[in-house]
Amino acid sequence: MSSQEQVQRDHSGGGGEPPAEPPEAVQGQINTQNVDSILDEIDGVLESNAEEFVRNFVQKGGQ
Amino acid sequence: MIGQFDFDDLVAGLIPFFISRQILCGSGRVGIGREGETAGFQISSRADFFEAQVGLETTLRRPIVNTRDEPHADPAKYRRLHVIIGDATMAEPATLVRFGSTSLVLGLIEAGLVPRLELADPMQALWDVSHDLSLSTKLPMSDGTSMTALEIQDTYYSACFEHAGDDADTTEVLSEWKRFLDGLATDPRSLSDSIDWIAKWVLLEGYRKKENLDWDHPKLALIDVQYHDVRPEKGLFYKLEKADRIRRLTTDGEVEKAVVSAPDGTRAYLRSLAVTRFSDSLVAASWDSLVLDAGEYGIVRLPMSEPLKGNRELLEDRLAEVHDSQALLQALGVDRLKTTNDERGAK
Repeated sequence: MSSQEQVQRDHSGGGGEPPAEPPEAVQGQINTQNVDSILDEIDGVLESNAEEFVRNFVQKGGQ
Repeated sequence: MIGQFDFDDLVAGLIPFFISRQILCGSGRVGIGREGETAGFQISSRADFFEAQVGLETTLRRPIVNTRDEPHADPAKYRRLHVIIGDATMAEPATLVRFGSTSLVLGLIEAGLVPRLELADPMQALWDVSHDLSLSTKLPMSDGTSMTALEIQDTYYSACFEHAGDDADTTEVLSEWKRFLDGLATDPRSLSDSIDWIAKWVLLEGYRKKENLDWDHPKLALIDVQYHDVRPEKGLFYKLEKADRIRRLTTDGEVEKAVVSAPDGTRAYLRSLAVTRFSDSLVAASWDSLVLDAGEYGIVRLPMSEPLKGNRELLEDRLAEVHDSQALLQALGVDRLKTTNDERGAK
């Protein structure tokens, strides 16, 4: 594909605009609150046996 | 890829790009070293598993440039570049920049316009970039100078910007690529809504601070893996995205539609049509051919060696009234169906 040919994308405007200066500015749609507020929610879905879960995900060979 | 170009030029153009590209689209990894034996966090999940610049293998002695060249298309016209160095991105902006920037760089290589950069030790550079979250490591170049990964990416970006077309997709890719480069230069954490290694890093640092965890704590390795869980109710990436902490470029509706609808602009359209409307006659479908049972005319193989043909614009009207395999083959220009097994394909 030449540099003019890109993957055809059909996207809505749901991504938000590029940030204005400074980088910490609130984006409107993007949640820039401190990450602490989501840690409890994530704790609720974390698998219980960390070592076993990680071990089962290590791929053994293959493509 | 299109056209006749030197494989060595392809390798020379790609290696510095692939080594530095991870800062834009790495997906992060807890643990440094092949076994993760050193505690810490790094930018790329795959970097530690690469050992060679060029090679054939994909599961050991992994190369930055993989020489598998099965074009699945007319080999006189097309070549296929098999890329194995990219991490699995989840954040849609990172995915856009990952594929979009690579496509533009390949275009530069095809046109003979790619920047001529050469690292003194590409493998060491690959690992050093991944292991340095400050993005400041100076990579020795073969001409005695040194550059950071960001400076290498800036060089590729500028060349693409100078020579790019002005279609909407190219403009979008360049704009996002530039936004990433500016953010990485000033404050990488500002891109925690766009790049997986940064989103993951911010999340992990949140836990480290809250629960006073060292990098070798099992909970952090768990978070690293579960970030990528594809189950919507379990995947930590999806939790972040649903909480509007990650930018999206698509909607759920568009994704659902794409699961069952082939792209319109390529031979995927014809392949999809064969599968949905002619499934009774379809014997086999591959990347570059269909095999149809044409009844009394036997089994016919229909090559699709042009990736951009067989698209909706060319075929939708022509095939609207076609309902059986013989009529399909005739509509596609298979003009010599005989009542013996005949291997002729379409033009």
